[in-house]
Amino acid sequence: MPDVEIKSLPIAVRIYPQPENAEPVLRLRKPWRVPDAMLVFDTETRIDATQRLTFGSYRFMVAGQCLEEGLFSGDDLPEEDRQVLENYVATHPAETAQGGVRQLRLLMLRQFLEKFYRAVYKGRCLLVGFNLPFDLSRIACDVRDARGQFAGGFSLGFWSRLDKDGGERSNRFRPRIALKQIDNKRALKSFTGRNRPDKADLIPEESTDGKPERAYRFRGHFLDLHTLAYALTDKSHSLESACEAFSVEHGKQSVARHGIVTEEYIDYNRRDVLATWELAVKLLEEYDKHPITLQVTKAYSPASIGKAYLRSMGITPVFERQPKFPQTISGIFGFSVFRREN
Amino acid sequence: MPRKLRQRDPIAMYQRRVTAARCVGQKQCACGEARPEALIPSSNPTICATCKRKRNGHSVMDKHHPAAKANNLTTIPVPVNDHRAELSVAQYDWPSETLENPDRSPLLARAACIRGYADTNVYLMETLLLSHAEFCELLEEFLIQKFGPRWWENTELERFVPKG
Repeated sequence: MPDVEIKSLPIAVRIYPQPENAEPVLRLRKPWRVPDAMLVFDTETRIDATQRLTFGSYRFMVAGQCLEEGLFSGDDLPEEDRQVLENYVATHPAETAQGGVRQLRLLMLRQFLEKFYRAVYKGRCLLVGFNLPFDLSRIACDVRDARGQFAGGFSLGFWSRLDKDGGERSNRFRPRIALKQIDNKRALKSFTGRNRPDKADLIPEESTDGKPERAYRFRGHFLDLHTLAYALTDKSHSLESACEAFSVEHGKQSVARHGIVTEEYIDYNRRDVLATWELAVKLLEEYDKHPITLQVTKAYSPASIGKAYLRSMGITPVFERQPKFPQTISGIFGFSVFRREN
Repeated sequence: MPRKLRQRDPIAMYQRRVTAARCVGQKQCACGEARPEALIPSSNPTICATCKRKRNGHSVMDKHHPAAKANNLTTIPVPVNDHRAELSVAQYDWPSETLENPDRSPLLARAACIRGYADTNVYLMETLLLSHAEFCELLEEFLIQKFGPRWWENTELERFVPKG
């Protein structure tokens, strides 16, 4: 017998364990309405390897009207950059509707995060951005490995508190945001639980009686337009190409130099937020044309929309139709698909 | 002209509005009152503050401090539902230092008087004036349909026709 060197190779097999005597999970499909408010934001960073936050801007919209617009700066922004931002807000008004705040606000990052908390977690409005995971990671103050359903992803902390010794600690009375990248166009995003949530935070979406449920956890309405544009078109768009594809009135502009805080760069960032908002309106209009009940924030791919169509047509998944279909056969099919894909 | 004053902090105001709405769900009082702030949370059946007061034999009017109690003791009587759902809600949008004025600053007290006067004016305009304007316009349409475009001719109302 020839002397054959046997090399061991690591292999991974994806499995789906079916618990014994598992009860089929009945998913309630409650009607979901898109919140009438949205917080749209975008960040700018240094262009070195750290990609640290320099500044960002946001708009808060209710019923299609911009009621507040502002800039926010990183807490460690150098004084000269901060001065550029201060001069900018002193000479530029906010682009708000009647009844909104006239003054363009300039906030420190932690002040912006308080607004973020009130709007996105407490108020449950839509959080809109283009490539949200990147922008979220720029405004986070700490990061850990995510657990549970998000294992393999990141858990971002945004709010901190001072402990007895004056050290900064993650605030457990505020939620974190768990992120798990599926691919370059999609990421799962969710608020995590927090200690001692208020009663109002335990009231489920679309509750008709307003009663809190102890086990309920609000997961957030994160609308990443990169993902939604992909789900609607089956193409990976940039903000610029998505604005063109959906005929956005104020599309993305270009800037000569990135990473340095200048008036031109602030204009560029504010324009990005405007373009993002207008794109969100266009994409939501497009999505509304589909007679499906899938939450727009859960439309991760064209297949999500396809599956939602099947549900709307009354076509249920195989295991709901044939609950006694042998799981082992399904496993073999699944494994063959896995082999072909890999 | 806007029917509401400019909001000072739209995000906080939005959060208070949706939280109040979430807490009462899709319920309303038997009298038709559906403003979340006017409904009594966790009442079963859902009841508004006015109906609860009536049921208990209490006055349905509240004494509202237009400039907030910390700044000026002047009060005006307002229906309890409006107090809770309109006037107090408007005060929550003030800077908390002005609303609470813990150090009794005379300057903040005056700022509160200005804000309170403006809020109360908007409330009175909406309840006393604007609803009547809408009523007149609807009645005008009705009378035109019934009696033609010059429905006031040969009536006592002719003396109110604008001169010129």
